[in-house]
Amino acid sequence: MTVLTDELLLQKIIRGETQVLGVLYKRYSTLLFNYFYRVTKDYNASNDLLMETFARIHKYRHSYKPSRKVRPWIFQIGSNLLKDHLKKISKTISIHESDVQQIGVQPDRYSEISDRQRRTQQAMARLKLSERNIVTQYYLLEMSYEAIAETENITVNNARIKVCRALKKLKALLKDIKT
Amino acid sequence: MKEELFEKDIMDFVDGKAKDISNEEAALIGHDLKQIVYDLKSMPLEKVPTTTDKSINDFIKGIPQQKQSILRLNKWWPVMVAAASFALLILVFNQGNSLQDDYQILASNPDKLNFIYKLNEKELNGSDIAWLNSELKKENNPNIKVTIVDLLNNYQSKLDNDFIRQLEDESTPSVQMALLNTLEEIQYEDLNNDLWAFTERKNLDNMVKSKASSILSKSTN
Repeated sequence: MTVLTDELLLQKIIRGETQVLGVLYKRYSTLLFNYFYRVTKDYNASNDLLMETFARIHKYRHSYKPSRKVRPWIFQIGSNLLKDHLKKISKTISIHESDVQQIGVQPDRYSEISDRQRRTQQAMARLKLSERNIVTQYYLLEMSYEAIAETENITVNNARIKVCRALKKLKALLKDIKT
Repeated sequence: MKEELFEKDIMDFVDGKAKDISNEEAALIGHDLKQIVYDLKSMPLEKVPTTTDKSINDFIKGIPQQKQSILRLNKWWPVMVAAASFALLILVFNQGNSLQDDYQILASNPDKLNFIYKLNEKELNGSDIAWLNSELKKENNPNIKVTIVDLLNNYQSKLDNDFIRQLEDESTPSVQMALLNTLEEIQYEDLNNDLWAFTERKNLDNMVKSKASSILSKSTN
């Protein structure tokens, strides 16, 4: 079976077959949108970040090194954009208790998730933005510790520790959330 | 340093790199963290707003096509190729042949992709849909297959068993995801049974498995 890998698709984009960007968008838009949304809780900002990610994929296509995998490259572009966005809003954002339940899954879809998942997302909302970001990179984007380390500008070991500690904090927060 | 090793053991277990942890305290934490990660992974994904899809399409359309000849023999060659492809597409769309006839004369995958994209502007009838189902079955290119599935998603009420059975034979994650998205919306009678069987497959991509599990958990809640 002929499978057009992400790497081949990006080569085509670099050669000027821009419509192929649509295929990459199809492959990654849902994941990236949910990544942005689960960290920011902001639907409009997530939209903007998603569009900006693909604009940058096109803009910086020539900086892609063929020896690298495309998937982490794309996630790195998205993560960097999100990091910039979080820096901008970190001084003004404060998540109110009423907003807390909206992290991850919209209230109208609560029937689709278990009670434990609902409590987990409430606990996620209580994490610091940077912790929520790193946990979401880990479980949703399934970024390796190497990729997280590169994006966060920390060592691989430190990336693993940060993920572990954020998850342990989630575990502790879960105890405080009533069933 | 000791704590770091302790945390490394925990994460090796959560990541599936270690089957067990000898330290009892780390094992307890590891099991809890693994459950948390599982719960997070199996949360349903939000759909990307259609307005964003449209904006991206407009963005892509707005980028000038600058296909470069690898051999660089003639800088106008790519332009000529693009123009010829476009002319061919216009020609096949205006001749009144059946879609199937028009499609058969397209040789390259980009032309085929463009052709399928353009079908979004047309109202397809039952025989067009049956033909697209058969193309979906025999096509090898996953990008074309995803585009066909997305197109057929607009005709959910006309999709029959031929479409539903595509998931059984499909092994490419991107196509599996596209099929699952549409099957979820169709909500046909045996969806749960088919998905249970599907999630039992070996070597299933994590995202695909998570999507299938999410559809199942929705319907069983």
